Amino acid sequence: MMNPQETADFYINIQVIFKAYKYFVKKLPKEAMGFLIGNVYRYEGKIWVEISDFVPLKAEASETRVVPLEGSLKKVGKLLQKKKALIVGWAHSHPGFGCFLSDIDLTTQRKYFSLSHQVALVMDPYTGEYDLFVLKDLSYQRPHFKEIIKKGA
Amino acid sequence: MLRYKVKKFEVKERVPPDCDYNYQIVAEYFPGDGRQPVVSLALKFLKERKIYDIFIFLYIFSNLILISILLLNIVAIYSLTSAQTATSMLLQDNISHFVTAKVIYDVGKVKIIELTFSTKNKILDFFIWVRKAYVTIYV
Repeated sequence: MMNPQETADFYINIQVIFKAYKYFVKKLPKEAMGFLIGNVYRYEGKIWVEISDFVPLKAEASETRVVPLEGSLKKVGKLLQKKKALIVGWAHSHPGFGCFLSDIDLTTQRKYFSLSHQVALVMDPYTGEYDLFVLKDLSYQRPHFKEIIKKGA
Repeated sequence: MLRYKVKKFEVKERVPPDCDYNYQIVAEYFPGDGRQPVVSLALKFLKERKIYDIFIFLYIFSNLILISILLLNIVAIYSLTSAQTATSMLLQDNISHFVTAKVIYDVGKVKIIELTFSTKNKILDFFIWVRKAYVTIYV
């Protein structure tokens, strides 16, 4: 048994990071985005989130902005039903800009991903750096998270 | 019109991956710890795709090839040196399956014989470092 305090807020499968990375690199030099799929669990009173998949979204993109296309959410809805999973966040790339949430990103996070178990993954495909962010007060911060590998997957 | 059923969101009790033998923790990041998570491609890709196993297989396979080539060369050298010492057999052209003898110089009592080791396979022969040896016989 472990101390619930040692439990991270988010557990992200490295396959998710890799899948997102490959997709973001493929879309260079433009930005790209997708949803993070997973589930929310409780352990001894503490909520933790497993991020198990990344679903790319068809989007209209440029080097500095990305907007999902209409109808791209339908596929995600079906996938959620099939996997019995939740949208636990979103991921998008900042090609060459580093990992942070811009004002527009913050607005998106507040508007669509404001639940405590929802996270934003930002990745710079040029450097391979990425980070997770959750809302905190008027700004954002990195949550306590761990990278995991599912054995035999 | 959306036709998705709205289900009540229930949080299930489950042990985190730290205590689950089906999972392995790779890295941990804390708020404000200053560490930047990076997609360390090589290690993660290797772990993810189990290429370690493939590398080990390739390593053993390449070593087996190397060992086979060494053995082949040992056999070749042994055959040629044996043939060099078996003079009478040489003259009867009855040495071994892999060594052929050819008289390249024959003047009076002196004969120079060229011994060639060949497996009758061009690819295998390519890997043999010493294929020819010469013997001088005084008849």
